[in-house]
Amino acid sequence: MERSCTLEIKNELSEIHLVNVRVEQIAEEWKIPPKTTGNITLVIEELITNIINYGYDGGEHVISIAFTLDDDDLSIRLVDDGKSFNPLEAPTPDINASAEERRIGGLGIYFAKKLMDSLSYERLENKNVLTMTKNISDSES
Amino acid sequence: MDIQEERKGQVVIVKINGRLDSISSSELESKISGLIDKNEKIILVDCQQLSYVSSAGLRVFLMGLKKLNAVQGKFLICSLQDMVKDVFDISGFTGIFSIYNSQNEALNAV
Repeated sequence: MERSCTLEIKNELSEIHLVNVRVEQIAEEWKIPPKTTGNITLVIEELITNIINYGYDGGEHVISIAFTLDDDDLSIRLVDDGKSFNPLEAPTPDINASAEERRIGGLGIYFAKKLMDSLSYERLENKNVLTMTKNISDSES
Repeated sequence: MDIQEERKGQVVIVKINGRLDSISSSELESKISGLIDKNEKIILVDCQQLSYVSSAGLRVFLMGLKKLNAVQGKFLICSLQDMVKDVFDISGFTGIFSIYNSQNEALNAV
């Protein structure tokens, strides 16, 4: 059985709390394990924060987050009308650098690559479309 | 998120309760910057009640560590919950911070 749910938010950081609440609700209804839910919450916060902070030159915009669950396969699709940005091409941060050389930039996208099973990006009709998948049956991983 | 401050000898303990995310991290940033500006040299961040951290929160920890390293101070962290510990591990932050299992363990190490 396939289930889906779409959430639309404004390009304001305060909307992240709204997203968290909805993700918690979806996770409960769809029986997504707590650790996976935590990872999803983190990845969505990181990607949305990037879009809100760097994607626009002002103005009000809508970011859409669509969740689909097909058996144990969860798919999350983020769509924004910000500047063209392919997160898959972002440089990987050096996680072995010393404290003095450490940078925070790029860490959010790195989390998405590490914590999701797959990521794909398309630029469609002047929109960034990022689709992530995660199998929720491999539970606590 | 809620922040409490406590002093034990020369150590300032900053206890964080709740979620440290893109929205709340600026509050912790002002707290820690304020302490360093007041010449505090040893800060221990107690994360026992911290349930969530994102890269915005990690950025604040890194800022505290760099600033205190620069003045021969110490920036310590204790009592990480599983989710927060996982984020530290994935980011490679476990290797650059002094992380203790409990507040007492951290205080004994000072």
